Amino acid sequence: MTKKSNDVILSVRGIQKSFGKQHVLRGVDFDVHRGEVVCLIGASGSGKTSLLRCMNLLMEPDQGEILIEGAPLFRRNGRERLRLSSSKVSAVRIKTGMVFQSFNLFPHRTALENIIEAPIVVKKVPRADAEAQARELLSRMGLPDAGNKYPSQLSGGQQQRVAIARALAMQPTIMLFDEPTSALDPELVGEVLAAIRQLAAEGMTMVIVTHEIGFAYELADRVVFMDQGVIAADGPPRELLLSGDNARLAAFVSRFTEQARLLSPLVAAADASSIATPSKDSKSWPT
Amino acid sequence: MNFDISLVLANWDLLAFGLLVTLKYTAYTCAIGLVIGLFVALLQLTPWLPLRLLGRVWVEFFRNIPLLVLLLWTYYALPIFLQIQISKEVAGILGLGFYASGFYAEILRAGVQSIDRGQTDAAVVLGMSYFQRMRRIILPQALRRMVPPLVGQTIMQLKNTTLLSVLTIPDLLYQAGYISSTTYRPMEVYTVIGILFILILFPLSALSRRFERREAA
Ligand SMILES: Nc1ncnc2c1ncn2[C@@H]1O[C@H](COP(=O)(O)OP(=O)(O)OP(=O)(O)O)[C@@H](O)[C@H]1O
Ligand SMILES: [Mg+2]
Repeated sequence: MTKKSNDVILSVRGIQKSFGKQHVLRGVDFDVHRGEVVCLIGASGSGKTSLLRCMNLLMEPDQGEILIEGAPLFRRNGRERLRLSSSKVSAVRIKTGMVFQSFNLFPHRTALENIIEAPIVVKKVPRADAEAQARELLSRMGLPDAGNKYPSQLSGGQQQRVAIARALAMQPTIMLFDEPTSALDPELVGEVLAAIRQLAAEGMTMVIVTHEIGFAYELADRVVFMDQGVIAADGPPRELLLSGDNARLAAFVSRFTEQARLLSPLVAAADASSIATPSKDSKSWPT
Repeated sequence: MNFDISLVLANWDLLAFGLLVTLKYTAYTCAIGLVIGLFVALLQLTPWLPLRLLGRVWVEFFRNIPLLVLLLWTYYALPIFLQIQISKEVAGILGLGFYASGFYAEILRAGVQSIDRGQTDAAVVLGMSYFQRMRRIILPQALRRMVPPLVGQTIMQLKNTTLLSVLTIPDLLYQAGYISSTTYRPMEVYTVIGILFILILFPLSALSRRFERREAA
């Protein structure tokens, strides 16, 4: 899978972030190229969410630089600092679409209204066009009949797919996912991963924070391993996940391979009954 | 025991006047309380610490002072401190209104803050401005949550107007006292106004309960 091109969509440089005395990001450099799928993995608390939220300035770093399609979103070096109006920030930020672990759909709006909200209010798209686009996105997400349902009437997997559609409606150039399947019941994980897989096939540029190592292994062009606030390893999934070069990465991966090995009898059984679980990856794990 | 309400009913005009006064003071003081309360809630929601503290102090002051003390203080002590004249009506409205503002402020603030942080995140990421997300995302959700406590506080407010009788403002309770002292029928008079209060307030709380159920559904 070498669909990535050379133009950099998103670039972060020297990102630092502290919460009180806790130094959560300690100088992260990171580029994402057009069409690239990057999976961000790492232990809990290693700073994945913080880094992702810095990428679109949902969280403001203490130091560093963020460029999206060459447009500066944030820059701060010591005392020197780029000042942007909030509308300028917003104009750059909406090139990124974000999907959250907890979906964050607007509960007082139907699925369709969730999707058309920002195109109408922010981009001033005519309502009819926004609705047509939303319907098309819902079908793409496999939810052609969900438009009039409220989030509370949808399953977690359906909600997350609506959330993906909502992000896509703003026609972002890059999608950021923060553990999109972690809040889901196991049987609903597959449908969301399938939707993301489909986006990848369509060439969407994506950064995905995930604990689904098998998914990262299968889908990513590049896997980035974060450890204690820095990027500790970065490379193609096969090389990176299977090499033992980085001891902490190897230890991290081994927990999943161990689990996969233990579960392999179950995986075979589940394979027979269910559809879209990424189980074939688990089988390809070395044991 | 002989329960005879004919004497009470003969004074229905006095009771009606008292009821009018009670409703009038409820309306005035709720309006004042809501306006000040909204302002104080906004103070508490700003990122600016001194303003937040100011809002906090206001809320804590009026939530922790007993209403009867506040009313008596406003009527008897405040004019001396400020060297001004305050009529009992103004003292009553200010005391009750400020008192209500502390409670309303808390309801409004808590309502906005109870909305999950993720809602703001989602709206921000979609490019919505502060006012767009407040108006379209946060407040619509917060208001629904606020309705039951706001109604509850308004019910309390109507009941609290009975304390105005200590300032000799002729509310329903004061009128009842008057009728009872002229007719020597306290049992009947107080029974009647008790029932009146319940008849007025029950529909309000039933309405709020229904709203709550619809929200939960
Ligand atoms: N808003 C915040 N205030 C204070 N500390 C925070 C905040 N957000 C994150 N942290 C801390 O920063 C560290 C890194 O958090 P982060 O959420 O980026 O980790 P993560 O890699 O996403 O972990 P997980 O896999 O559990 O989601 C954690 O120790 C966390 O407690
Ligand atoms: Mg996280």
